[in-house]
Amino acid sequence: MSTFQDFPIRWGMVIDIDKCTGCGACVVACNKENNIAPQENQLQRIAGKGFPTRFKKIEWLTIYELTDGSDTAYLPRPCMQCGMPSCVSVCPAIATDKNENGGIVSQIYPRCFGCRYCMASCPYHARVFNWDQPVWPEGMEKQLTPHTSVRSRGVVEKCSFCHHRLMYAKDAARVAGEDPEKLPDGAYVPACGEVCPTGAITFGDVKNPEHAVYELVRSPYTFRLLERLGTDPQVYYMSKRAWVRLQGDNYLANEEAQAGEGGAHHG
Amino acid sequence: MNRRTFLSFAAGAGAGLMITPIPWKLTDDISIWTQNWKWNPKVPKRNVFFAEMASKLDPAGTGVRVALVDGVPVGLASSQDHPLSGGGVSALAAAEVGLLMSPARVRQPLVRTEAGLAPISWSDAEALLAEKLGRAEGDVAMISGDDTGTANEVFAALMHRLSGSFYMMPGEAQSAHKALEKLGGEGHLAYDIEGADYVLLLGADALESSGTAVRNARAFSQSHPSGQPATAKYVYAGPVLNNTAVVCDQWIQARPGAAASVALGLAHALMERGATARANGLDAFRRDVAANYSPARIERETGVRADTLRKLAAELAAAKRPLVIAGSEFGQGAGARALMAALGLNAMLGRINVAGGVKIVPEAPAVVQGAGSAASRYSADLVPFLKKLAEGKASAGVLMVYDANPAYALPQAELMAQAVRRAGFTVSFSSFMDETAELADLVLPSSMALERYDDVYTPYGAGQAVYSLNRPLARPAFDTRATADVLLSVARRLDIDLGYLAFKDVLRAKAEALGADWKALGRGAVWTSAATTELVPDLSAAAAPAPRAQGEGLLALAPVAKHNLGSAKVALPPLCAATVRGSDLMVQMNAKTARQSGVAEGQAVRLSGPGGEMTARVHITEKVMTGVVAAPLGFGHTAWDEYSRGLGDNAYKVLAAADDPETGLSVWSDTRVNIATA
Amino acid sequence: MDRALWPEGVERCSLGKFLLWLGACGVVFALGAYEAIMILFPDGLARTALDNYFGFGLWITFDLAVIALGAGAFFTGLLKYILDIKELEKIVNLTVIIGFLCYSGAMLILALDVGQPLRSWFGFWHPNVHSMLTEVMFCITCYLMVLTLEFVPNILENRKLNQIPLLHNIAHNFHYVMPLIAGIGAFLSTFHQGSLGGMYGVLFGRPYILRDGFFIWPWTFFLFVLSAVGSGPCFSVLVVKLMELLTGKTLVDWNVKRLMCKIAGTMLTLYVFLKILDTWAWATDVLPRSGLTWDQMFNSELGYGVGLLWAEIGLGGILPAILLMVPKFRNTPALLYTGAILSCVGVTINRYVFTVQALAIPVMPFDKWYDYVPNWAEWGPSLMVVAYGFIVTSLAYRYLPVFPQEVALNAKPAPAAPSAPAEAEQPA
Repeated sequence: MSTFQDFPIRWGMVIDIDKCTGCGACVVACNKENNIAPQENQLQRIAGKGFPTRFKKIEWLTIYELTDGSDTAYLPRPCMQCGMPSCVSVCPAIATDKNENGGIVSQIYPRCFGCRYCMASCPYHARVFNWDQPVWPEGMEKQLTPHTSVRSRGVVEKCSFCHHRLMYAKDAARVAGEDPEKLPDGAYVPACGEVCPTGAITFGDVKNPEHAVYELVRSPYTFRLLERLGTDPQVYYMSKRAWVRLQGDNYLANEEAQAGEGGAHHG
Repeated sequence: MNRRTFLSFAAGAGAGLMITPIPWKLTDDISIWTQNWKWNPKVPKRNVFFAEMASKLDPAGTGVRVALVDGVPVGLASSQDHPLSGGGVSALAAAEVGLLMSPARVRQPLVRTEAGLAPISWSDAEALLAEKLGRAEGDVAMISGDDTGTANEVFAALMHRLSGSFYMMPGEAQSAHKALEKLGGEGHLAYDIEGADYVLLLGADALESSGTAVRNARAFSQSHPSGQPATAKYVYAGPVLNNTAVVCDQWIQARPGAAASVALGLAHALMERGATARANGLDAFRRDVAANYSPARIERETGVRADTLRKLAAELAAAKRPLVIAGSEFGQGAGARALMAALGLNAMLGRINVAGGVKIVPEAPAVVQGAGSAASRYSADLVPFLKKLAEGKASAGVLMVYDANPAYALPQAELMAQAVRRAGFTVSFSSFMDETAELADLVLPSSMALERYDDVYTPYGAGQAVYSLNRPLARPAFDTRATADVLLSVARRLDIDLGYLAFKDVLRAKAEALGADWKALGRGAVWTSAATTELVPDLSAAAAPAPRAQGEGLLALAPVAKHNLGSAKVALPPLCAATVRGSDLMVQMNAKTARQSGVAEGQAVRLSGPGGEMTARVHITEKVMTGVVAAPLGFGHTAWDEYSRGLGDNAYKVLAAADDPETGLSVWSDTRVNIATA
Repeated sequence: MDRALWPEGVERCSLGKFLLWLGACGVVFALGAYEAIMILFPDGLARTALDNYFGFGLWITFDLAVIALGAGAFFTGLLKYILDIKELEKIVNLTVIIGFLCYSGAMLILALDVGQPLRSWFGFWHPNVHSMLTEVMFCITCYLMVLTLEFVPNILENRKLNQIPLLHNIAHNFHYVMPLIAGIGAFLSTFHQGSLGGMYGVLFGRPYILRDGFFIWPWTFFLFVLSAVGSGPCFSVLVVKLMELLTGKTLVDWNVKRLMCKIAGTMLTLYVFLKILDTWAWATDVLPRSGLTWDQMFNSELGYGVGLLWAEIGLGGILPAILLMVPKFRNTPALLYTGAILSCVGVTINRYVFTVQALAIPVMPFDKWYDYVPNWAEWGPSLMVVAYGFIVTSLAYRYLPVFPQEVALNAKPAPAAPSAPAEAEQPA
């Protein structure tokens, strides 16, 4: 296994599950920002030809509904931007890499040739594949944003923590005569975090004490998904409810008692 | 040739080929071709500019910033400073930009011919409408679903001049106006939710589909800092663990439509503790509460246990700044009762006219003569009128519908559609080919909010007076016009002078009347005012017994509104289709209810209620209280486009409205249904 | 009619009958090729039953299985040219053809399986030194070239072609360098057989297939090599047997078949022993440290039951090892072939569970099991490759001197002359 750099900045997203209503605003904003077409037409084009459509939807941010049999919680799952990504080490063409200060795992569409090995390796199902060429309903292709290119058939795509917004924030800092490597809290926030009505998503540099996420990741209520696999995710979840925290990872029966206390792992 | 020469030749040819451009150019070309297939759309490469707008689609009236590239709206960002958003954007508002190009948009005026709806020019259409209105001689009705715009003044004024009737679509805003009127007040009910330290939501889906949901969500967020102890307690009382309840600190299971009863039960418990109120009509109120709303009775009727009720009352009494917000669980049908009862309860808690409580924001000054007051515009009850129209007991020579879909989003939806058909000449101003437009004789498509001048004044629930102005941010994508302008023009054809040439002038007058700076508004600034009117409520009618439940079935029906699935006005927007789960389409009940009803997970069932039937599959979840079946609203469309047409079934069909002569607003929030396997 | 093209001294069926046979294979080929073309051009991979949960499916299973079964090529080559086991000379040509077909077929399927086949060369131009798949790509491509080089001389030895002096010379000279080529082939093959296993063993996001290992090589690296050599020679023997059944001739004598199976059996025994150890280590270490239990790795309702594991190790491992190692069993043709078939089945199950079951298992606690059933768009091209194999093997059998023993094994006793004393000839 390869090792990855410890960057000076570590972009982290903290999602407070206790504040997520499952409204879906984050998903809608993500899809619009990143030029993901409404999938209805896509899937109908596939179904119309008689092919299976299960799990062929393009979606970078998926909201899972969790339950313990009586209570319910919603868990939005973007790409974890793992500190030790299982996808980066396996890509045969280096179409995905973790080589930039901040640690966002890149996905380079013109480089990917669609072998889907990265999809097999990701336990979070953060990566999706363009099974068909992108289909936009008539007229909506006029409303594409300049932020991300349109992906063609046959390549893998995933959440990029709205990397284009990082670029814009750095440019804005340069223009203002400030240090682009020391962005203030809130200068760079992905679309999902920006729109969340209940403010369940906080974003920033977990290594920077001036950013709100710095304290949040050190909370006893904070946990990460599948931490014990060694992926070192840069997405953190919070919940005051032990049953929610327990669903963040796999535990053997004798481990659950300790696990319920909540771990304060942080990057 | 021998082996050596052959091998040398082969090696030489191979090496030679490598130093020609051929293999390198070819591979380079291939990698470029594979990025640039002609059939994939290209993204624009220009700068993004942002312009402020208040969402007309989202009843929360959220302020947003529209991202524009070369004059084309490409996305929505949040507006940090807007008092109604504080930076949040709901799923519905986020989809507004994508709706601009929705396949359901009506692209030009249409008139009904034998062969269906056919294109017609704007001038011909206006002439036709003017003729019909002229000949109708007062047998004219107009329905508006726009709860926040000054356009209603133009419409109401026109109706007044034509001696016709004006109706607002039923909803929380109408309920609020009526409730306030019954209690002797006037203006807008405002909730200072940011200032409260204990928020009790009785039915009202305040963080998702009711009132200023985004602002409420922000207030909730501020009081619940991640990882820290909360600084306010949010409690939701209702039948379903909906989007609001799932994050509230406590969910109290209460049957559908029980908001008024629970509020009065709490009043009873408070009275037991000796509380009193600064209000008139207290004796009548006390009498009614004591007679009809004992905790034991509440437990029987609403499912809220007596001890839970008393505990809740104790918490309310102990809180420094409690606030009770009541309403329908699904945005309509609660009539005025829930709000009247909640005002009574708030009065008992001393939370009227105070910070962190309920305030009264004055109505905006009217600028169109003959428009009447907001309260008067909300006074007529639409559903009984449409029922009579459908049954032939009333008539409408011309029926005009603006920003509403009565043929779909009202109880007994099929009967409502009949009413639309029976009107002499129906005109729909819808931007989309909705169920009402499909039945209309004339469709005069309204430009969308992004494409027209419009305004938002203090949406229901806003904590203070708020005024936003929208300018057109994009050229109309299709041949559409702002309806207010169209009707001003039609009025002129009828020699009716409403005092303004264009709707923009109406808005300018409104801004002036409010004392707002027109130029600043045009730049996206928001006008606010902390001015309130004092209310000393007259509680004599607040606790009068309410109409009984509709229907004879064994299960209580809980319609659920989730705005990512659409609203009463708009079907599932294309950009929101991604958020639909399989279980969203299903009727939901818990395991115990399913056992009692003899149904299993995934089974196809038919729900029959007083208004009609619907079919769906069953999903078993503990998010629904026992004895209740939850049905999603927003499915079962028969018009619109491929995103929504034919998906699921319409739960509005099952509901039926009951008259409530005391308040003058019919109710349909307590419906009983039966379930059978389909 | 094409007698002049046949190898010396052999008999073949009529050209008409042969063309009919090719036609039948061609129909299967064409049906599969149609799917392949529809995928490559209008429909893309949307045509298949693959999806975001099952990015790998039938084709990867098929590829891994045929590559494992084609291991007879490198292993036989290694044993013959490097370890000089002369007996294997009798079958090495066929194993090379099988290897060539397995690898070229796998490449065809891979070209179909990737989303952008025109960009496949990116794996060579922008290689990721940390990825097992890079290693696989390089080695498989080089090895296919090696197999081609090993196949070429056989082609040039066609009776007509061999008459051309240049071609005869080339073929002759190839034989000099064959040990070198075989050695390179063995090296490449070991590495990519292993890397294919390594591809799975390194996935620390999938505890079902994750393994500890030696330095950068997970145990699956070694297990895949061993399972390949434990079944590849068996597959070669089965192909020969099938050819004998279809042609009615004896192509390779019993001793060679037995030897191949004994070699495979030895490797299979070693493999099964290590596989059991590995499974135990995985169950007692990898799984618990991921917080998972044995039962969570299996789901019989969806067809991923623990029965598959017992079938793989028991029916497809221990049983064939016994059948092939115990001389009494090995000497009984019915049992030998049974053992060979079971060995091939075992390695196929192994490749299947590592590919498909691994992806069916939920890792996030709130995720679910899903099942995967390939559709005709995937079966078609797979069968197309099988048909391709049949066609090329048939052509090679008809026109190339693949089997050195064929003439001797099928010599008919001379017809008794009425007057001259009959002289019976014994088969060699």
